[in-house]
Amino acid sequence: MQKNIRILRMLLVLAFIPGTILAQEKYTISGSITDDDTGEDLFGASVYVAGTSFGATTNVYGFYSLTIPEGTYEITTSYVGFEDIVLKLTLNQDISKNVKLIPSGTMLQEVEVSSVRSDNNVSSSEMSVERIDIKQLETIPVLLGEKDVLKTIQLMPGISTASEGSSGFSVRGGSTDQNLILLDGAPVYSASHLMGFFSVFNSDALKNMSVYKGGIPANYGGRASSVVDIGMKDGNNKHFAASGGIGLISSRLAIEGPIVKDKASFIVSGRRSYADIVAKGINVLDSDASLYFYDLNAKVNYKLNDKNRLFLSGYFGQDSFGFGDMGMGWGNTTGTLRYNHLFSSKLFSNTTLLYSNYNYGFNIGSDASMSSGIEDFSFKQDFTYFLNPKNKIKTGFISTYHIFNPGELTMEGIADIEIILDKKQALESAVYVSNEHNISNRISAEYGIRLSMFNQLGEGWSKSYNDNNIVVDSTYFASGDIMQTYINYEPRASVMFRLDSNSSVKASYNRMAQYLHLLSNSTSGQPTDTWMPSSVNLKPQVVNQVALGYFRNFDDNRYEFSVETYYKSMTNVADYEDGTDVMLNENIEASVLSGIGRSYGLEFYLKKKYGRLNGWISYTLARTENQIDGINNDLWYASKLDKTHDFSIVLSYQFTERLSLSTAWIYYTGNAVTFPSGRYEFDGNIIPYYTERNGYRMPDYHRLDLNLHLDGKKKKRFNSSWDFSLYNVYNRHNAYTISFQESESVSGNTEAVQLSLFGIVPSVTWNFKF
Amino acid sequence: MKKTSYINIIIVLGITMLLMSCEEIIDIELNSENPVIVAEGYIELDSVAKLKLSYSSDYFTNSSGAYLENSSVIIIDDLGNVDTLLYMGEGNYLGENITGALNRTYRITFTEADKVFEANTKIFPPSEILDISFEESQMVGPGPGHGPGQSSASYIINMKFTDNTSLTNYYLIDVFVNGNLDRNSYTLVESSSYSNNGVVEYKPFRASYKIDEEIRVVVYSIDEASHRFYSQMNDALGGGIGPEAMSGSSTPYNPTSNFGPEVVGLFSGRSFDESSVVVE
Repeated sequence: MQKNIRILRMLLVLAFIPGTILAQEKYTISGSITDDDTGEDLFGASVYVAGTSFGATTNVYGFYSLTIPEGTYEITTSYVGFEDIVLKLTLNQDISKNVKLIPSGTMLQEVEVSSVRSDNNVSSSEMSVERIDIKQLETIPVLLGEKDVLKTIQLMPGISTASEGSSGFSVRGGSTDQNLILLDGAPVYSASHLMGFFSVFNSDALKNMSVYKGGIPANYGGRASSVVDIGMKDGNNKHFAASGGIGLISSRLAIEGPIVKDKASFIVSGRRSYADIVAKGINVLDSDASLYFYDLNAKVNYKLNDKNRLFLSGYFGQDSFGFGDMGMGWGNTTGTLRYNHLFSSKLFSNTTLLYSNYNYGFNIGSDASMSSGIEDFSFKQDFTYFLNPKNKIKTGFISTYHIFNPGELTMEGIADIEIILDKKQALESAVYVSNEHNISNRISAEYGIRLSMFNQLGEGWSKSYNDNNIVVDSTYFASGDIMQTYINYEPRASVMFRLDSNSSVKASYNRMAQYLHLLSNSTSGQPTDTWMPSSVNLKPQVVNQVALGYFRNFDDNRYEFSVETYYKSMTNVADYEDGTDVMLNENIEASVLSGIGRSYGLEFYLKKKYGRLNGWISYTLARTENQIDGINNDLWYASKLDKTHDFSIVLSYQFTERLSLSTAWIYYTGNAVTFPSGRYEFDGNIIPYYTERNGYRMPDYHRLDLNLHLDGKKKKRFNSSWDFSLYNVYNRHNAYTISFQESESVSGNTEAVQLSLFGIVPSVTWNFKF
Repeated sequence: MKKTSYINIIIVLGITMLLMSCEEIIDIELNSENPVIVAEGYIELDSVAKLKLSYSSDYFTNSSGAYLENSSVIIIDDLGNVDTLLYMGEGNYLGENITGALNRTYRITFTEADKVFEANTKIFPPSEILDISFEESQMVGPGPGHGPGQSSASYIINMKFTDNTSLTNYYLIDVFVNGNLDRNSYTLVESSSYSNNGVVEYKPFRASYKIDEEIRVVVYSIDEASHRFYSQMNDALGGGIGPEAMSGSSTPYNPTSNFGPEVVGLFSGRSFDESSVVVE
């Protein structure tokens, strides 16, 4: 009996030992990773235990959390462009560890192009994402020497420009209003200055930028095609610094510094253009003409303690264009108040209040004025829970109150006109949950779901129209009444299967619902475009996208290669009846026709990240088309943003420590347009006759840009550099518009007239930093 | 190098940038489509109906389209009266027996091979021109006959005419200067935007006139379909393809014809009043 009891005890002990080993305690190491020089958070920095699969990356606030079994480890923290730090730690309780990484010196042999982990291209489950290193912008040549994040992303596969010079862009065939552009979380509705030639983003104020073309995570929503998430710098919390530049068309200045050292800091940056001042000086413009823009970014952040941090940031920008007593102005204002809180080493919270306003106005003296705009107030709550090394759960919600001012026009004297389109209101809300799951050494996935709801609210009229666009019924809704509700489930998923240490295959699916619509009569996006909410007549656009890709790195991650294919199906694609006047049209909804669309393509991308010579080649083969009853005889037709081939080569060569040359060659086939196929005479005029919608193509576009960057001799406090740029080096006259008209020289003849915007454009910019 | 030389370099670069856009006539290949029927006609108060029928041609041709001859063109009013328009040559068909009358609705048909095309229109009462006056307009800045910073006195018309407040009325306004039609685009007025107690007061502010010019103003009362057609014709006259097409609408298109989608053009019923003044 006693012998049996001993055997039973041994068996019980043996049974529990493995369980005891398996149930080994796990502890969490968490904290922030920052730049030791400036105090800026480092987004995407790596924290890992070499030789194991334990690893994590910092979020956009520089926070990381890694839960691993009890033990002694060498934990490496690394970030491209910085010296690695290895921490020897014994983990037998939860540890908070903040790490300050030291920037490495400029390395001729190993010039980094990307700020993400070396093999992230292969190892991350993310696909269809472009992460932009803001420092990279310093050498990429763009128009008039102005560094422009939005023009830079148009050099990447799947992202194409709407037109020459424009900051409006199309992602995988989507229209320009299908891109959610966020600045510190606040939406920016019109992201361009000077009729689209420059973006509103001053790169001096920016820290990071991510562009999601597909595989969009569940915490983003509201636009059908893409998300451009731009983060501002927090400001140097170590010492005061200033930087800026004086260029041909504009100048900029940024000042940053600590308010309380290591605890609170600020950054203020501004830009002002002066094309009109130059033009007046050489008598090309009248003294009372104006053509300029200015913008201001400001941010303060305060670290209350290791668990609590406050941020307040804002943007204000304005454009002005006019002569005599005629004027036009437009601009954005955004504001973000954010509170980060660490509930524990595993639970990170981000609470945000957001404000965004876009408006434009036009006036002729005191006789006539017109205005339009949109205003948002948002509340957002996000949680990140680092469940274990294999699972990171994100959840949260957002609610936005939109106020739409579709337009007001008053005229006195010329004619007494007052057109005031009813203001519209809406509440757009969403909840989401997602998980980043490291399933095994070879497989990782991110999956989640977003539930979005849109309520069009009173006060307002809901109208029904007959086939002749006449109002046949209207219902009044008082302030706050729900006029129309739309609900959409938006699943998101992406998965990575690692083939070997250098390659992987990825797939993704996302469904996006868009409740806001941009009424535009141009392809490229103009300040006069009007935002409208979904309503009983204007249904939300819904896009389903699948993507599949092969990713491979070469030569110790020196080269990254990817090929991706995608297919998007779209419902409630909107277009206008022929002849629709989109401006100040009270019954515009009656003229909107909706149908379906599809977009598919193949993207190739080869990037060299290190070495004296670095850069990338990108090529996109794509097709986007719509089918809308009432347009083009109900047949499928090419979308106006459809471009078959889009090719870019961007190269940068570092000659010496101070001198580098960058070049960009861009080629794309023209977008789809409607040209006349005949002509007729009416009332003494020659009138073009049109057949197929978007049945023609603009001429092919290509140009070469160069930028020579020369750093001044390195000094302790004050450093400067020069950029000498040539835009369109071989002076190709690329078509901006093509118009058809009667010949002025030969009566009865017709001709096609091409307007080209820019020939060869030299520019020079002097930059400084201290 | 002296500082002034640096400034000069920057200014030269500035000039280069500002003046780099250019326009040029280009060769472009356009499709050759089957010709479409073009119909242009009207019936005015107290006048017979007129209709011109022709075809469209290729865009870059330097000749007009062929005429549609041997068509059977008939007009019927809402009292049942029928008139056959006779062919007068060069695509023109002219009525004989029916003249335009107030508040009458007319249906005109024509044939092409075995197809029949039809349009309807109505003649609304004319508006009486009550007054034409002029206001001096000081233009400052570059313009015809004067350069930057210079001003040139010119005058804009201020016209008043009657309006039937029980209806939404549509007007087409033609202005003749010294006997010549002054028209870059159709001047159109919808009464709901301008009418005040039965009087429309309108200033076509894009046009300006000089002292001693003889101005003849003709105000046509037209129907809604005609107003829409002429309004869309203004888009067509604006031309331009590309990101910044000079058009109020989103994509180039053919103005809506009241003959239906297979025909371009318009048959319009109208009445008018006119008045002449000399700018002083």
